[in-house]
Amino acid sequence: MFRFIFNRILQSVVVIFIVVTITFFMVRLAPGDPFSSERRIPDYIQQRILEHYGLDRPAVEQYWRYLQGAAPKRFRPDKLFTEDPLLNAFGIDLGPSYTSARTVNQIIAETFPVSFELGAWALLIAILFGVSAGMTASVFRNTALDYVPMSVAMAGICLPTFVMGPILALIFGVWLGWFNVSGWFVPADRVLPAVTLGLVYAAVIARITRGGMLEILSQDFIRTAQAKGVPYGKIIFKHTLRGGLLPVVTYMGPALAGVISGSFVVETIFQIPGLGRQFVQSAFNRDYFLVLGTVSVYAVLITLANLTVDIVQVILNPRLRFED
Amino acid sequence: MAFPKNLSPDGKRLPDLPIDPEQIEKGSSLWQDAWARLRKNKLALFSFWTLIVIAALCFAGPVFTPYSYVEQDLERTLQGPSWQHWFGTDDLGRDQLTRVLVGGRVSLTVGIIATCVSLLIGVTYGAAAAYAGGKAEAVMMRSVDILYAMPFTIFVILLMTIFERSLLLLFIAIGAVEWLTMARIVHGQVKSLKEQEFIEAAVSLGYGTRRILFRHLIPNVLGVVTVYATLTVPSVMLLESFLSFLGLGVQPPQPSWGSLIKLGADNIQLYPHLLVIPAFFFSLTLFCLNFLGDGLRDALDPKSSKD
Repeated sequence: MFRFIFNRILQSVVVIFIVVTITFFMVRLAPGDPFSSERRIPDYIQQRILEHYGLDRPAVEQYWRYLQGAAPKRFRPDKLFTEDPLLNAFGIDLGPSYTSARTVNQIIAETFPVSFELGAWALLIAILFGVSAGMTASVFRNTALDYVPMSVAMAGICLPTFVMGPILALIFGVWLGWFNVSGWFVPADRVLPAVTLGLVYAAVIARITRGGMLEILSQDFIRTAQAKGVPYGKIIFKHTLRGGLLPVVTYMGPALAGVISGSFVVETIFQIPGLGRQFVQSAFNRDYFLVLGTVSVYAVLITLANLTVDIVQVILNPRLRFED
Repeated sequence: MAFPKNLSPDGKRLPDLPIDPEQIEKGSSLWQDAWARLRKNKLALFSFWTLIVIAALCFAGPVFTPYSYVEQDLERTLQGPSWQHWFGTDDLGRDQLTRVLVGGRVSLTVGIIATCVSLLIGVTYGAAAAYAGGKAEAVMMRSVDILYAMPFTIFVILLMTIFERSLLLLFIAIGAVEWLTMARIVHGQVKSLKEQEFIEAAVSLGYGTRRILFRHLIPNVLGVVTVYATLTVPSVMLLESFLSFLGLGVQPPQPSWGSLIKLGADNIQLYPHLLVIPAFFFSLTLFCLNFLGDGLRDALDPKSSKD
């Protein structure tokens, strides 16, 4: 068990490292640099700018210096709630941003909480609606309570975020006027983006839950429990749910990755000042360090989620403990 | 040794059976069986024909509309639907009907070609890994696992922003993401097929690796591959439109359903028809592809359950 967790942590570190490396060389070796798209500036000034940011050095040297800056150094929990927690609490310096006067650390510290809140609401909606719809459908199999939620789920899967978002904004923002069409100021502004982002995953989770529950419900120990006279509610919630939700737990890793890439679109549609929009813009602007910084944050998040999923799986499914 | 006709094994003569040659059951191939099963699935069949109609409209339709998709008419921008412009006009006065059809053509083409790319890589890789076995297989499939953990959408976005955006790059980027699932599925299938007797027979007959791979193994996984290819097309189209929505996919003036939806999303307050019409066609196509894929799965691979 501990060996398993240790291996997985090691693997996560390797994945993060690979992601950062690929990203670095992808942005570095691409034609052009962040300043070449601007209007022509004299060559000696251009040279000075490149020197200032260290961009005139060989790519490998730049890479090494970036890694040195980005590697976490000392952990100081007392500095966790400062303005720049990355630098103060972990000693991580992600470098300057070329298109803004602030550092990448500051930009991430500002935008990440927004995206985190959005993603948390979205996942909450996805799990809440998905699991309850999937359970209802499996318990009332082949009745209207199965067909209706499952058809809605199929629709949810087919309607991508960037169709769902504008349509929800059109109906509830423009026609009904219940919510603002865009912005991130009052609590009600969270509703439309979170629902948009969460619905697709609610739909997938509903289908997975239904499948998982049905699989368990068809097994012998459920029949035994029924024969023993265990109340139906107890069979569902105690005997079936634990095994039936396992596939949902497995899906949480991909779901988080999906919520992250969904946030690029949702934050653009609803004009939310989050990390996702920042990432797309920085990629457009070739703001190297900002791109690298955001990608690193995403890589850490995704690998952390996958790690948690693997560990939770082992806890929920004792059979996995015997594999390494 | 074969028994003589109409004799039971102990030599007694059996009565002539009135067998009508017409009634002898003809063997039916996998594909005939699958077609018969698919025909019973109303939803899948409906999706199939709807897709044919949509594809025909998108590929042939733009020829019959009196406008071209790049023709601007700056005096008639952002008009509602009318007899002249059935779906109205966009922000540059281009005929929206033509653009929706051409956009569909682009989206469908990208969907199909990128699926073929991912198919080619995935099937070859998965089959090769499973056939190789041993250490090579372990390394190959482990790297697929690691690649799976990568935030690929992010890499695709980076690729599309950093390099010169072109359709070719789009195909490569999307194909590179989508082959992973295919490789996994084919790997699993080939691995189980490999243990079966007919492969052993082929090996003992002295056939080469390539012949066994391409003549004996791959044809047997075609059913499953067809199903997942059908399901890959919508996910590829989704990725393409996602990129086009962000302005990273198909480049203007070339329309795609993703960029048309983006234009609609930017103008929902005043011109909702710009959003609703392309969104409708796009969602309908995704619906049909998913239902057809589900139907094909039931038809070609009846053992696997629906969920």
